Amino acid sequence: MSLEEILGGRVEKTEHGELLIVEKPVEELGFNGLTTYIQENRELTLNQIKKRFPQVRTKKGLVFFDVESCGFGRSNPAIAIIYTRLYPEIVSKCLFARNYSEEEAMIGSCVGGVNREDNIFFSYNGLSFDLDLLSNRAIQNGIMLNSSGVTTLKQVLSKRHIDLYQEVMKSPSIRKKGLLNYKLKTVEGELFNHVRLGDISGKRIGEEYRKYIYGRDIKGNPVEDNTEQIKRIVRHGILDTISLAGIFCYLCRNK
Amino acid sequence: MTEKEVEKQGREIAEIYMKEFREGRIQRKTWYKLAYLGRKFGKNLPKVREILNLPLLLKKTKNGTVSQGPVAFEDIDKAIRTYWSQKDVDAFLNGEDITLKNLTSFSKNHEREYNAARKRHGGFGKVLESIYPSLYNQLSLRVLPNEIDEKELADIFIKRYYSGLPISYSALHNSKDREERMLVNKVLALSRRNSIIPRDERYVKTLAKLTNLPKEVIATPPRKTTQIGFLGEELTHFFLEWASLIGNLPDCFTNADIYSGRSNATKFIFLGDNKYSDLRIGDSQPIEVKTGYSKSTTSQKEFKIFLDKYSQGVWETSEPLENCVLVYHRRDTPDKSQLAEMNNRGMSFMGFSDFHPLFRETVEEIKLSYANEIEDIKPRIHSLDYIVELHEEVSLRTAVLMRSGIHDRLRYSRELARAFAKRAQELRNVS
Repeated sequence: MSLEEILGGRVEKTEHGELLIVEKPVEELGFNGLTTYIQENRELTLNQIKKRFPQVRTKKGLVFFDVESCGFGRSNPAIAIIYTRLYPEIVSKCLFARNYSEEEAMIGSCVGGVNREDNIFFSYNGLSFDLDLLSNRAIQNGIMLNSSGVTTLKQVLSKRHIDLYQEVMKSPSIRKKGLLNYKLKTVEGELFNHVRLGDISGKRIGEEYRKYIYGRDIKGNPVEDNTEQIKRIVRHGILDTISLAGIFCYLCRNK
Repeated sequence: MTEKEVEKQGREIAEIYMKEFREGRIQRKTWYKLAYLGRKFGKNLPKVREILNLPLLLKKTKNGTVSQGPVAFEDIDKAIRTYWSQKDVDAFLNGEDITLKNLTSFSKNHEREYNAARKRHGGFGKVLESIYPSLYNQLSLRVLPNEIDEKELADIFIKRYYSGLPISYSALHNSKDREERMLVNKVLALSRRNSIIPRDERYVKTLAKLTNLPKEVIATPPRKTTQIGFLGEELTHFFLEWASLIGNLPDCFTNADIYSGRSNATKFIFLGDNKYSDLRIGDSQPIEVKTGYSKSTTSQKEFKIFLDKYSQGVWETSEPLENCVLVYHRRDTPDKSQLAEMNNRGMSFMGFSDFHPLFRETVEEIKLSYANEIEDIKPRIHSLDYIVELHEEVSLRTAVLMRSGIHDRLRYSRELARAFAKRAQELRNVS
C-alpha cells in the first residue's frame, strides 16, 4: 500500500511539485478526552474570543498550527506542516513531504494562507521555533513569503500570530495548578485529562523519517517498512494542533 | 641652484654609485642619497642622474631585459598593443563573442608599464584610452559607492537568489560575464564604507545587510562544489546505465560496462602520474563530466590539459584512452575552436541542451516500462519527475543545491542517482 493509502490522504500537484495532504475531521481521530472538551467548549462568541485575543477578526480565521522537522536546528528540513481549524467544523489538515524533494511544495502551499489578513495563527512556542524554522526553510527553498522582498514569518504575521505557550505561562488559572513544566503534553494532561498513549516523541521524528526514506537506520542496518511510524508522526502533529485548539477554548473561558 | 652645484655636491655619491654599478647592484641608500640631493636642489632623481651622467643598470623582468629607470611611453604602448591585439580589440568593441584579458592580469604581467602609466602618464585609464578608445570603460569594473543605487542592487541580488542564480563571491568573481563580475565590485564598493568588517567577511556581511538574506545562503559552504560535481557524475552514470538498458544510448557512447568513482577501473596514467576519469565505459572510453561551477575546461590552459590527458593517457590496464566524451551539466559550452580541436582528437562533446532531452526520454521510459523493477528502490522516490527536475536544477540553477540548508536533499539526490544506476546495472546483468 502507498503512504497516501495508509494515511488516508491524497497527493496534490502544486506549482512547486507534489505533496501529500491528509485531511481529517476530528471525529475520525479518536482523541477522546481532548475532543470531548473542545466540542463542549468551542461554542464561543466572537466577543468572548476578542476579549481574550483582541486581534481575532473572524472565527473562521483561527488556525492552530505546528511544524514537524528532522531536528531542532533551523537548517533541518521540515517534514510536515499541520493545522487545525476550529470553525465552522473542527478539521485537521496535514501537509506531508514524502521525501526531501517535497519540502518546497509543502512550504509553498502555505504562503497563500499566511498572507490572508483574516487568518490568525496560533502555535506553541512558535516564536522560538516554528516561525524561525519555516522562515529559514522558505528562504532555503527559494520561496518568497510575500511580495515585499526577503522577510520572515514573524514580520509577515506580526500581530496575527499568538504564541499560546506564552499565554499559558501568563494565565493565572493555569499557574495556580502548579504544573511541573509548561510542555504541551503536561498542560494537555492537566487541563483535559488527556494522556498520550502510543505517541511518538518529538526527538524520534527525524530518525523515523530518515529510516522511512532510506530504508536503514543511522548505523546503516536495513529496517523493515516503518510506514506505521510515519502514521504516528502525522497523528502526533495533528494531536498537537488539536491540543492548541483545546488550550485556546480554555483560555477564552478562563483567565 | 645650478646644475654645477648639483654636480659638485653629488660627486661623492656618484663615485659610490659607479662602484655599485660595476658590482651589478645599486643599493637603496644610494638611490635615497641621489633623490635627497635632487630634492634639496629642486631637481628630480632622473634629472640628477642625468646631470651626474650616471648610467642605469639593466634588469631582467618576465618581459625581457629592461633598464632601470622611468618607463618610456613607447614601452607602455608596446606592452598594451602586445597584450591586446588591434584585431581582438576591434572584434570586442564590435560586440563579437570574444573574451579579452582583463586589466588585473595586465597589471600583473606588465607591472612596470602599468605602474608607470598610473603614476607618470595620468593614470592607466587615460593611457589605454589614448591607444584604444572606449576599451578602458568596457574592461574596467571599478565602481564608486556614490554611483550605486542600493535598492536596485538589492533587488537584483534578491531576484537572482530566488531564481536560483548564484550570488556568492566566488561564483560571481570568476564569472565570464562582465555584469556578474561588476555585481561583486558594487557590493565591495559599498562594504568599504564600513572598514570595521574584516576584509574576508565584507562581501557576505554587506550583501546580507543589503538584501536581508541570511549569511549562510550567501557564502558557499566548503566542499559543496565537490558534492555538486559528484552529483553530476552520478546523474550521468544513471543516464548511461538506463539508456544502455533501454536502448537509446547516443552514438558517441559505447554500449558496454560502466565504471564509476575512484577505482582501478577508472585509473589512467598520464605523464607518469595517476589520474582518474569520472566514468569509464568498456575497455577504453573515458567520460569527463563538468557540472555547475566546477573548474571549466573552457579556459585555454585548462582545456589544453584536458585534451592532452584524454588523448595521450593510458589506462592502468595499458589500453589507450579512446573516444573520450566531455559531458557538460552547465549553462556554458566550450567555444568553436575548442570543439574543433576535440573533434580532431576523436573526442565528443555533449552539452546540457543535448543531454537533457535524452535524459527526460529515458526517465519517461523507466516510468512506463520499469515501474515494478524500481518500486523497492531506496531511498524512496514518489515521482520520477523529480530526477528530471534535479538534472535541470544541477545544470542551470546549481546555486540552489549549494545552499547549506539543502544539504539533506543533496545527499538524498546523490544516493537516489546511485541507487537507480545500481538497479539498472543489475537489470543489465540479468538480461
